[in-house]
Amino acid sequence: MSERRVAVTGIGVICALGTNRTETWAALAAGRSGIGPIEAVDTGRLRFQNGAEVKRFEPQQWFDPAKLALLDRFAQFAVVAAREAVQDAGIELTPALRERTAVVTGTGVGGQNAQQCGFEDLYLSGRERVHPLTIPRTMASASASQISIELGTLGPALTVSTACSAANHAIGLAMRLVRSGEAELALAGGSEAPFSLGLLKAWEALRVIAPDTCRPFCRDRLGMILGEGAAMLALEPLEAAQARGARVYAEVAGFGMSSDAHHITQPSVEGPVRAMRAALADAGAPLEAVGYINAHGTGTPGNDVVEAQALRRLFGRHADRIAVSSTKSMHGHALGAAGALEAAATALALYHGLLPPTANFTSLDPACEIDVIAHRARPARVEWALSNSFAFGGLNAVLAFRALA
Amino acid sequence: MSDPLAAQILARLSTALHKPLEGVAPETSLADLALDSLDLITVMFELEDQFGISIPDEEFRALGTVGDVTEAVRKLVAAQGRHE
Repeated sequence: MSERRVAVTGIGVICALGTNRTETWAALAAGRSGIGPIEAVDTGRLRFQNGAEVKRFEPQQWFDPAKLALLDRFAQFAVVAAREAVQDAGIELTPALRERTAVVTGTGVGGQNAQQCGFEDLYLSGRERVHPLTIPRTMASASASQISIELGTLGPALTVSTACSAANHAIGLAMRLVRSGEAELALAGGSEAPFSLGLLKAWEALRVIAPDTCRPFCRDRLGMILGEGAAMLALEPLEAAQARGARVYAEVAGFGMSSDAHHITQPSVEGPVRAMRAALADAGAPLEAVGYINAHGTGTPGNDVVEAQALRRLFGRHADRIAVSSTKSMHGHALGAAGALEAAATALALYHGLLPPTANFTSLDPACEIDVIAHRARPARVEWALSNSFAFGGLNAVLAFRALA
Repeated sequence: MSDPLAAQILARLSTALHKPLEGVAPETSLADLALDSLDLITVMFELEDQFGISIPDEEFRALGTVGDVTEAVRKLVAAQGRHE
């Protein structure tokens, strides 16, 4: 079978900016940040106080009690986003299509809230046993399983765990399943729920969390802000989507991966350059065609300057003509969900002709020689865009999106 | 080196780098020791444990030289003494 073009026809999102796609896009378009004081955990024991949490989310309103008992928060987010993606795509999951539907999810740590509850019972409360659902709730692949159970999909289902690149790897692999003909529909993205004391203390120990907010590419940036949530994309062959009259947000035209082989936390310039180049080569797009990049842009001193150098190294003078933003300034760094939130933001940006900004911006770090969209979204009809994810451990994954007129 | 605190910190750095350190002065930059960010985080974590102190992120970010580490620890140990 010849290779097929792959379209994003449905988007589901839940994050600090809203519990659905519409609310999230409204915030992204307005440059409104979802960062605020952490409520899930007593921050009295933490060196930082702010995060980008999902608010106004009552799981009981989304799941019946029997189902909810099986779901860690990260899997709840995954299912909520997948439901919305399918509904948004307006596609009927017929028995035949279910057989040919793939689910590919990403997560950094999986159901660690459930795991922590088990550890509290054991180590803190001195109980001799943990809840029998601890394993089904904790396993990283619960997100893929619960989506496929919820929707009755019978095709390939798997979970990728590559830290902060997990969702981009998931979407890229899912795109290839659809492109190759192995699946007729794929639900792909990532989910994460990192707001537990144990995990927050582990992040604190790394000293990469900002005490105030996330200011990517700014001179006075002090680090990242953790976020949570999920985004899922419905991917189907472009031709089939057009034939059924579906709305197409954008084409997922390319996917590039690389490994730095360098350091377990420090980023490199070369690895990201190779991943971006691979994504564009996969898409068959010239470097000069890229008009927007949704940056990895964590807001840490190390990442942002290295990413800016990588853009300069790959694009040369054309980097001056690429608009760049980090939407992590609004939805936080949702780790294994980050790439999915940013893929959703990028596809919506191409669809609406509006590039979301970098919020909380003060002044550009002179070491970051790039055109950062600050504060306010920029109206622009861009044909090609990249969405970058460069994970700890040097695992890079880049998606290339193309606008469809 | 006659400063016992400085000597202890040098020993920590030497352990972290898995090599003996010679010719290191207070002005020696941590970057010149080839101490990467994870090494430094780990060394400071161990010093916090050893001295029962907590080095705020703001002070951590300002550490540039071996002398900066010594003085940061000295200041926090002294402050702790005053509180006791």
